[in-house]
Formats: sequence, structure tokens, C-alpha cells
Amino acid sequence: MSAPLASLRGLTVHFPGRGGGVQAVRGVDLDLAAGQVTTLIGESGSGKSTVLLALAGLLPGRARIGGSLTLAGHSGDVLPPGPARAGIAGREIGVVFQNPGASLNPVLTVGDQVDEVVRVHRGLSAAAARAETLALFARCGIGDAEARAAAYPHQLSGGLKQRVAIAAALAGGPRLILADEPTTALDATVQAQILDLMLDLVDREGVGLLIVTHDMGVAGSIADRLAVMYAGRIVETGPAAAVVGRPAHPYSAALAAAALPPGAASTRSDQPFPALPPAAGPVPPGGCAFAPRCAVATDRCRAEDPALAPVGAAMVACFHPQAGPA
Amino acid sequence: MTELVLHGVSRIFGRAGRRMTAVDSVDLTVRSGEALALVGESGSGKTTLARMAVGLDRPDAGRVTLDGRPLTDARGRMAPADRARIQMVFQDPLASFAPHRSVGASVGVPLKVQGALDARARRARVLDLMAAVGLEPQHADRAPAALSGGQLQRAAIARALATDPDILICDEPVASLDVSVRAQVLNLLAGLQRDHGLGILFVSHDLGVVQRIADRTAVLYLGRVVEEGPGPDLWATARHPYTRALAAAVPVAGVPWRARPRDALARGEAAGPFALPSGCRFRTRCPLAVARCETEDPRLRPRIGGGRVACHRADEPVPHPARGGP
Repeated sequence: MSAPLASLRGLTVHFPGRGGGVQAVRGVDLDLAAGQVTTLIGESGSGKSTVLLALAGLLPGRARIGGSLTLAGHSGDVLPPGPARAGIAGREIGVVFQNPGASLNPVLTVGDQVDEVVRVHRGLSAAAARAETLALFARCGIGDAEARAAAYPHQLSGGLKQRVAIAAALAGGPRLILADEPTTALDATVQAQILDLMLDLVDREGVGLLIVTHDMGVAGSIADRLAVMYAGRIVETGPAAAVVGRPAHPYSAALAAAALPPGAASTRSDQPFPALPPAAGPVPPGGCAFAPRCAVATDRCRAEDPALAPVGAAMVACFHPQAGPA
Repeated sequence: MTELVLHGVSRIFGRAGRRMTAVDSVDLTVRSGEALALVGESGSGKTTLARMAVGLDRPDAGRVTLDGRPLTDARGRMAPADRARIQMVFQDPLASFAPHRSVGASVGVPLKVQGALDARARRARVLDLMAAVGLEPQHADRAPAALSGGQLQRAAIARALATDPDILICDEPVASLDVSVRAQVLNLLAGLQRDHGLGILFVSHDLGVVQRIADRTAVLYLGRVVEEGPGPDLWATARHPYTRALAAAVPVAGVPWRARPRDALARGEAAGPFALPSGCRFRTRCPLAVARCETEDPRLRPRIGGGRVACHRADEPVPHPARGGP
């Protein structure tokens, strides 16, 4: 692994509110490297998108943020909002969101929108900016770039809109791209094309990519490294092949078992497939957050929160890891 | 034995000059005790078909029959007894419950409409129905927003079962649920079909989900059925290039995305419904298209391995093995 582009340490995020507010992230470490795909997988409410927003510097002002972030080429901590943070989002870190229809401005042509990003970050003239936009479109596989640049978002298909959003994220020349569920809103055949595009950027241009997703198929097929989040913490992380192949945390194992790839050996059977009980209320204080849903939980799990510790090639936060990565 | 049959149904939206055929001459049969999955991407017409199957919408051409009799009269109304026999479960459970009514009261609405039971007997029946889908009596008195997505979708299924239907139409019933609770709802539906002989029309864009429940699968593309065959094996034995493209596009955990075969993938995106290509409507994206596909619209005909397929090249040897998952 090359030197990390970004190192996040001990991230905590708290949203104040009634009843003590919400502790969305409870201590997350993450290293993102050039030319590497990291995926952060979790279900609704696990805190995965909050981690991405914290990295991007896009959390709302009321969020209370703890921890530190170091970026290649920057000295010191750039996590807290303020002068140290300025100029990083967009220029060094590009962000792609789930719904390209919502992240593009409906009353501007997509070319004008990407031009604007190019001009802000590179200080180019209008003509130079448009040339750069067309080059970005070409890099993102947008054919007939000049005609597309003159189109409004509603005139483009979902897949093309997401390509435009990726082009905008690349406009500042970032070495790191953060993508939050970038293919969830797309049809299967179009999702495949967008995944291809993002992997091309990683493999050909050495971009570092973080993908946040709920989809084990996406996470477990494109990732070099995979981190599983549950209730604001990473419960298992390691090389994707190890975590997917032999998940050690009972929650990772349940997620892997619930993933339903077409054509898998166990097609329709009369055996019910493993179902987790639903999350039962707030995280119990002190113990492992997953204990109330866990089939192998013991008294210790209910009293003490396990820290990440090595199991095979992965790091696992569980007192009773399963067979474990080979 | 109940049979719900769609005979060559079409549904056209729009006004003169700008019409789109959302569903084009579709034949399908749903039988009690059998789960028929309807798979397609956005715009394929699957939801329109589901709405016609439950009498919420009427075909512009063709007809829908229940045990040989027309489902609706000339004014589009269903006989009350027939309404009880076909019930529907929608995608978003929170949107399909009245927010200020208790969950139990909503589950009891179909019984109230039928008018056969007094309040006390209705309450008892509601609790029985909720127990049958794995919910506690206390859930009946909660507001919809107080239940989790999985619990509320099970309540929606309880409500659909209140009239003791023969056929359940489910439109993306697990698409809005987290992966770990998806399994509970699928297990429930599979159990109802197996143990109570319910017929299920299961509409989904997710091939993996479909595979866990389908006896037969029909694949829709731009309003047409392009392939129909036995459920669990359809992806492995696909004869239509679109079915193969769909299966090849789904990322599978543990199968590295960079290493997957690409020759089955579809190019570009689906043509808009206002501008269908001549001949076969998939030809512009098809890796196997030949000159004949441009001039001649392929009809559904018997398929190797059972079922039907609409492709001029369906009987030729599969150009590459369809991926069979990990």
C-alpha cells in the first residue's frame, strides 16, 4: 500500500438535539490510498454517510466533530472547519452523491455548471474553462460532449447525469474522490457502466476512491479494502477478499449472507435464509452495540465494548469472532 | 385453483402527438400457489402491469380475467368479492399507511369495508393477522412511524391478507428495506405461498431478490416481455441477450469487478419510450444484434428449457457461459 492520501483518526460526530441528540459516529479510523478503492458498507443509520461528509468538510455547522484528519501535502489537522480546511473540498477532495438529479442545478446547462467548478478551482477564462469541461466529459465517457454540455439536467438520462456529476467532482483535479451510494439510484445495466468509469479513474489515473454503500455486491466486488460500519463504529475492516470471503464479525457475516447474488448456488430453497432481528432501540451503554441482535453474544458483550483487534488479515471488533479471514 | 390472466394487455399514456406505450401486448398468468416474478429496469412497465393486475388501472387493449371472467366491468369497477381475492403490497410501507391511524386500525380497514365482523371480532382478527406475520399485539396500537421499515412492511402484508386473498401483488416489497430485514419479509412471503397456496406476482428490479422467491420469472424491456422461464435457473440458462446483460451487470461480492466477463454487457442506456428503435427494441444496446434485428420485431416463441423468448438469435449457442455467481 502506498502512503495514504488521507488518514482519519478517532472521528466522532455528535448532532445535538432533544434527548441528548444523536451520536452518529463513535470513533472511526480510515486510511485512503492513491490507486485504491475503499468501501464503507453499512445500513441506514450506521453513520457511513456522516463519515464521508466529515472527510469532505460538508457537515452542518451544528455537528460536534472530534478526531483528526491528515492529508498528503498538508501539515497538521484539517478536520475542523476553519482556515486549515479552506480550499480542500473540490480541489483535493471531489465528492459524488447518490442522486445526480438533485445535485445538479435544473436551470443551468450541465456544461455551465462544470465550467463554474473549473473556473473557481483553476482560475481559467470562460473559453479555457469550456475546453477543460469538454475534456472532463470525454474522460468520463460522455460522447458527443459539446452537445451534451449544452443540455439541461432533465434532458439527460440518469447515467449521463451521474457522469456529469463525476466530471464536476474531477474538475478541481482532486487525488481523492468520495462517492456516497453513487450507483444506488441507477438501473443495473447503467450501474455497471458507472462502476467501470470509477474504476478506470482509479486504475489509470491513480485516484484514491472511497465508496459508501449499503450494497454488499458493489462493496465486495469493486473494493480493495472494505470497512463494515454498525452503529457509528467500524466493526470489521481489511482486504476486501478476506472480509467478504470469510467475515469474522457476526454482523459482517449476516450482511454477506443476506446479499443475494443472482445465480448463486443456493437459489430458491425451502430453507429460510438467515434473518437478523431488527435493531432494538438505542445502543445499550457500555456493551457492544450489536449484542442485542447477535446470536453469539455473551454477558461480556453486554458489559464491555470490544475494540478492533487483528483476526487473520482483518481487524475485527468482536469478542467472539467467527472462523475469521483465512 | 385461481388464475389471474393478462391477455395481450397494452397501456398507453400521453396525448395525441406524444404517446408512449408503457405496456405493449403482454400475456402473463398468475396462479395460486405460484410466485411469478416480473423483472425490469425503470420504464419497463412493471409497475403499470402490477396496477392493471390488481384492477387499479385498466388496459387500453387486451383484457384481464380472474378465473375466466373479466376482472373489471365496463366502467372499470371490480366486484367486491373479487377485490377481496386480489390484494396489493406497495414499495414504501410508510407511504402506504395513514400516518395518524394506529397500525392495527389500518390493518383492520379491509375487514371494516367487508362489514362481516363487529369491532371486537375485527380486533381479534387484526391481532391474529399481525401474529401471523411475526408482529406483537403492542405493535397494533402504535403509529406507523413508530415501527421499523421491516415491521411496517410486515404489517402491510398482514393488511393485504385480511380479506384472505388468493393472489398477492407485491410491487418492490423489499426495495426500501435494509438488507438485514429484507430477509424477514422474503421468508414471510415464501412461507405464505408454500403453506397457504397464495399466488404472488412479485415485481422487482433486483435479480438476487427475485431468485429467492420466484417459481417463474418474466423479464420486461420497454413494455414487452422479452423472456419468461423457470425462476431459479433463468439467469443461468438465459436465452435473451438482455436477460444475460442484466445478470452480468450485477456486482457480486467476492467476484472482482475488474476481472468479470464484459462481453454480455449492454451498451448505453434504454431508448426512451417515445423513440423506440425499429425492429427489436433492444437491438441498439445488444451485443448480438444483426441486420435482421433492425427490420423485424422478434415475437415471443417457445424457449429452450421451457418458457418463452423474443430474440431472433435465441436458439443459437450461447456465445459465452452466463456467469453463475461465485
